[in-house]
Amino acid sequence: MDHKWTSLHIAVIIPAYNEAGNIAALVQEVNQVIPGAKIVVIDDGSSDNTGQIARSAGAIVLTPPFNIGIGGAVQTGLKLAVIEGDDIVIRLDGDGQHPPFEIPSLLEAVASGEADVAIGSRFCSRGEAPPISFARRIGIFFFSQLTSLLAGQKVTDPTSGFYVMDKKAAAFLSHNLSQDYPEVDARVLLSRAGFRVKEYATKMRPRVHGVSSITVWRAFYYVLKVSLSVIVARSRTISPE
Amino acid sequence: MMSISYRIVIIISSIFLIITVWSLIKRGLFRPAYALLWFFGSFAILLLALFPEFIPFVARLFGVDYPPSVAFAFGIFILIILLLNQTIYLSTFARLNKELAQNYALLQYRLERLEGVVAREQGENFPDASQISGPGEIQTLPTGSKTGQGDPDVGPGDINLPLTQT
Repeated sequence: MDHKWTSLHIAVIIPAYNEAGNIAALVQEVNQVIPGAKIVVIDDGSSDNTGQIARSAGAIVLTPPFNIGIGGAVQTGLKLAVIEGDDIVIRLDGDGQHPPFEIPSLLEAVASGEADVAIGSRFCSRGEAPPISFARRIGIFFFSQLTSLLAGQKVTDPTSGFYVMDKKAAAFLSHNLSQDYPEVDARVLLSRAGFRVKEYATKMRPRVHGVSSITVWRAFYYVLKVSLSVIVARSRTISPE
Repeated sequence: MMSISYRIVIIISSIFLIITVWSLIKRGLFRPAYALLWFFGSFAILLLALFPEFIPFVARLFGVDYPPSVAFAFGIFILIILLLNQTIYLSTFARLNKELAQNYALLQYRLERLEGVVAREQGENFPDASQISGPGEIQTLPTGSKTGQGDPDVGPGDINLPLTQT
């Protein structure tokens, strides 16, 4: 698309658990938006043929021997990007909710040095209602208040996993990402480590195939666990790298 | 205070517990480092049975009306310490397990890529070599390089080095 990115080594990390219905289209879309980028799908113990489909769609597929959780999966991709010395790491959800056509604006922010980490947010500006339920909105409001407080900067969409980050941030997260609730924690950890994190308004899509990994019944438990996790993220020891 | 028969039962049980822990260590089912707390616990029970005056003494010291509750509190305290310890080990193992799985996935990918490189080299060079050289080499080359062991460019250090950083 834009020739200024061709000099950069870009890795796109996509954690996927049972996303056979979504993954091929997502990989192709990413390939169209940023041709030449290395697309890494982490097939995190799927029982369907997610990995096989991703591989035939042209992605590099990493296959942990069993499910290690979304944080562990993302971390695996980050480790590969760090080993291979990629300049920019993009992280998308495997369900296709982060539309690849929004990547260029986030990428531009990081490539130009405006931010170390650019995160797609459903809630900053634009004003149109994202396709999420009322209960989820309350949860996200609560987390955004808590995370803003702990990160010391305004966070509108703490659960967003739509990240574009530079080399240093990728290396930092490859050491410090938590296994269970990586997105919310990462905001606090990144700001503690002094990275410039900025949110940019992006559209998000509802998933096309399959079911979300968060069910309504687990929501309350989820809120408690994430709250504890993010409060701990404020004080837990972080590796300086 | 405590009946003689009750004391004997406790002494025998605690000795039995110590012997059990000891034999578990001896058979390699218990790592000595993890067994230390169990030893402390079981020796403490033995000491309490041998010197039963200790519990009423502590009860008087802290103004506890019902002395046996001191014994319960003591038992629960030991259990809490043991459980905390278990949770620490469990969390450590979960983390190590995750790291192992991650490095497994990364190594598998690099192995696949390496196999691809080896296969490509084989495809380009070895058929030619086999036509030039005698029949003896034709049979040894494909089997040797398929496993990747025959390739002198591939040292195990190359694969492992970056992964050991984390």
